[in-house]
Amino acid sequence: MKRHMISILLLLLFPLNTLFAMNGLTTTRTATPDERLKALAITLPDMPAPVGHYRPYAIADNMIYISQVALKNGKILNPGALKSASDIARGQEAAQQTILNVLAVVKQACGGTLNCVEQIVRLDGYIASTPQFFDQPKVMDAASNILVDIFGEKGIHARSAVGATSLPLNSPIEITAMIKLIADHK
Amino acid sequence: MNTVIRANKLMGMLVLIILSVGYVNAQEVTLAPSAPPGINILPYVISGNLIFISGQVPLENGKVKYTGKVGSKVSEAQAIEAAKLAAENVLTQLKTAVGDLNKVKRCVKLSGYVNAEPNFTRHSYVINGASDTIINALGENGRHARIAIGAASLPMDAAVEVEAIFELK
Repeated sequence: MKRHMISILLLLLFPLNTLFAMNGLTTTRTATPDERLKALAITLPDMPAPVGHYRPYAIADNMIYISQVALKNGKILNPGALKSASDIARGQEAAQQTILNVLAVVKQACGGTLNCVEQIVRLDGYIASTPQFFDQPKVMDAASNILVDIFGEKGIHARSAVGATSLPLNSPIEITAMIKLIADHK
Repeated sequence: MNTVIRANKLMGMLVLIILSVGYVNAQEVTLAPSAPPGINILPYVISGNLIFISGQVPLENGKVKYTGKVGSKVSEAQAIEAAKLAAENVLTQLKTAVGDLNKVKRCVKLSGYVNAEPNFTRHSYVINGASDTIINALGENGRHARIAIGAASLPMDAAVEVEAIFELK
């Protein structure tokens, strides 16, 4: 009798576990950007307000153009130029904040979703640097990696990384993004 | 009765396997975001009929040939050579992407960054090296809009960095 109970229990468990396994598979392989954002426990910030006479984004031919700095809750995160290799980590932290700001703009433009993205096309990364800082690509990788974590293959992009003498609001980084949107996403 | 026990054992093993598969997949989702440097970018991206080439430095045989500040360590003549080499690398990426330069309709825009001393002002002359290289390769279709900027520093201490957008046929 006991054995029968166990077998019934296992039979009951079996389809449940199959479901869990399937759920794992779908989340990894075919999740939407919104689902992956949730799985990665990333909360997007509110869209930062423009600091001049411009709009936070413009769309032409389904391509959205966005520029952002490392604003976090109205203040620049880790301000100032990067000087040496020991500054890479604080640059990367600012790069992550900046790319999340970019995505906050995309989400706003698409009516509350990131599933409107067809392809991350290109990033231009300007890193406030003293003349002896050459690790701009490592700083930008922090932003690029987040995009691939969220968008998978569609997140891989062309990029340039450049050292700047100074940037708006004393931000350590400014990122310009060109992102192709799905034509009928609305 | 024996068959029931065997079925039970089999089922138990199956459940264990399925549980572990589910566990591994769940782990994949929550892996911390980290990847080797530069792995998540491409040398180019094609979107519609535009191709975007990532920033290229004067790399030759895996080494940056011209390093340092233009206007002190690097002369203007050397910087022009650096811009030519960076533009050649742009064209190499373009050829890799499309196979044949005949498939290129035109060069749309070039951005040139010069690792310049603060008092250096001849950025446009330096980036002419890159523009000439593109025009030599594509003829009239190689003529483009352009921006030339002085940078505080560049990756790997490169003297020049060039990126470009082309339109495809």
